[in-house]
Amino acid sequence: MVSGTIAKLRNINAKTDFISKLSDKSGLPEWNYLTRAKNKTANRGDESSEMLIIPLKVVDGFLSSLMYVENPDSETPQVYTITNDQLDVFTHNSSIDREIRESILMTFIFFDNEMFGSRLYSSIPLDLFENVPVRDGADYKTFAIGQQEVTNNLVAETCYMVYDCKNGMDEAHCDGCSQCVFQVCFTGGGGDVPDPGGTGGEGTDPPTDPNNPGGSGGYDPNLPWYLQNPNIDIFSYSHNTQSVFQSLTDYGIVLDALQVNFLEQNTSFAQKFRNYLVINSLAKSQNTVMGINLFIDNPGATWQQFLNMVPKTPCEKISKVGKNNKTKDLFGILKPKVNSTKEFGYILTEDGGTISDTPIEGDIGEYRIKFPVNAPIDGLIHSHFAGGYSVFSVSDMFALAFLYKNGKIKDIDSFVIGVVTASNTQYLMVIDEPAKFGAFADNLFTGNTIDETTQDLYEIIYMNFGIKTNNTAANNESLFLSYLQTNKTGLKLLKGDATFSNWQLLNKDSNGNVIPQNCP
Amino acid sequence: MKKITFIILMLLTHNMYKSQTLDITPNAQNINHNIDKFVGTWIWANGNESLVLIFKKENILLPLEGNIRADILYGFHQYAKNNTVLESSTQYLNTTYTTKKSTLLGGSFDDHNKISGSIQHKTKNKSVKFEIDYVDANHIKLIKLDNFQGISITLPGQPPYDSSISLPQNIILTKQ
Repeated sequence: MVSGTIAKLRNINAKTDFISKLSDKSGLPEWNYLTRAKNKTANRGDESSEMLIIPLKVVDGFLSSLMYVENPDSETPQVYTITNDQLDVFTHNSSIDREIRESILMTFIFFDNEMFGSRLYSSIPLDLFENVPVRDGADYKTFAIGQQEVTNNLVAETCYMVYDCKNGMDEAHCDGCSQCVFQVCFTGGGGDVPDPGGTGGEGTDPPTDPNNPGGSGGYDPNLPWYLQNPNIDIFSYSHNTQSVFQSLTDYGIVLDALQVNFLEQNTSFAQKFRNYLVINSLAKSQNTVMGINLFIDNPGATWQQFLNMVPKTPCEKISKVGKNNKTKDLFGILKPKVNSTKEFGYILTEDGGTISDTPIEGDIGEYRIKFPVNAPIDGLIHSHFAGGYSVFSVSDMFALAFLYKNGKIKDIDSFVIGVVTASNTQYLMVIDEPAKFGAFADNLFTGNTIDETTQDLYEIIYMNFGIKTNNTAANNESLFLSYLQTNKTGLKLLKGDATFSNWQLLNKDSNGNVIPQNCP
Repeated sequence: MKKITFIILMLLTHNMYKSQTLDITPNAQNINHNIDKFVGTWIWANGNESLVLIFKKENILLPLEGNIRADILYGFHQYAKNNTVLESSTQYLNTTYTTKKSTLLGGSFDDHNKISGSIQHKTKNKSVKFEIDYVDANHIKLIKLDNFQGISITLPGQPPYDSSISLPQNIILTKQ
């Protein structure tokens, strides 16, 4: 279906140049997620025909928009995109039937979940999802959904358990109390979302959303940064406010008047955000918007509360334990022991910046090492001697999952598992996406009992990926990265140099090449 | 800003993962007829000791992104010694893989006359890795059993990981 759809769209574009008219000009279609759904036309409520939906993604793991192909089997399909900005205005438009708004919003959430795993969704209008309660004092709803089975068919009604957990915690850390878990059902779809104006790539029209008086016009690449929001004169604001506004436009984000005025009236926060954005990224820009909205919605919120809400990067997650001088010294002790005939390791516990270690030795000739763990810990590092893998083994990952399931990981944001190998490699692994890792860990256990059948399957998949003890280190590294990514583990791999002082986050680009990124 | 370029996109969707055995392109089926010859009931006996391996084949959904399936061997085993059955899952012989009653799991990766996989060593409370060679239409050889490499975590009150393996290895099994 995918190749046929691509060919058809290419032909249609040759005739109509529909691509140039799409509201989303930055996202790249993720054809793997092409899904069939009902045509839920916003204006007519007509569900008689089917449509195809393709999510469009931007770098750094965010859904850019959804591309809808109405009447895909006809000679003249209608193709359009709905961007996140359009979705925001649309879902707040109470003149549109609530069920249709819920359906289209859940369709976005469905794709976001499929592509990026479980995470928290916020700013959901109060009148949507009646069975999800409103938290005290909030003027919007929030919830997370768990990792779902992959499907390419949203024609039938789909139901998700959603989690509205205390303190905005995700599903993996939700206590699952009866006041936290609810069911949301929907039939996926889209259709004819009215152009809210100022939200698409072409949009410079004034906003129509009465709840958004300043109006964050969508980013228009044809305009300079200072004209991105036609409703404000950015040069009339302070340098800090201007700087934040300009920095965000680098990533296509345009602040509305309410947000800009907040910065202007809260000079301390404006200064902090300006500093925060000195080294900018899409994620940091998005965090900034989240932070500004947090402070607007919660006048007593502190900068530290904002920082606590910002997800830490893998590089940040190794700073506390993985890059601690003591850990570095212990790695240095392990390094020559790869020439031994057994494995060595250390259990790491951290307290006030000081690492304590418990040394562990394996048995001669055994490519296994047993770590007795009583209280929660902060890390494990170990060695692989000649004949062992040049990367982490499947059981190393299982150990991480086992610790997680049994509450033995003290801080999920700084826990590290490390290995130094006879192939002259040294790696750290961190839990990058806790919700995704939690789902991965849940899959390995039935309750708290090891699910041997599933764990065995992961071992078979590991073999099937071609990871072997006699591969080159580079080959195993590449294959293991694919394994981590494809198995939805939520884990990230970092590679160290021989001094254990410098670490690189490893990712793969779309061509399958390993891309190292130096940690600061 | 990136422009949507369908020509580039079409190139990206093909052959992104050439260096691995498993096809992980979305909706891949990973059909593997090389493992068909291992399907069946295989028996080894030596005095009062015996091992039965029963392999079946199924195309299963893998826990991966992209609705990826693969042909695998799954199955059941029975190990007896001194007229006592020490390990057995053969009572679940008629179940499918998804019921999770099987105790054997394997596949063929590089050498089409060799399969690797796991056998649940119930008396040792762990799974071990097997290597089996195809000998001829009536015989296979269980070359060796090894512990899977990696870390074991032992919690308070739990027995530590037992590194020993008591199942027979380096044996020829005959097809029934």
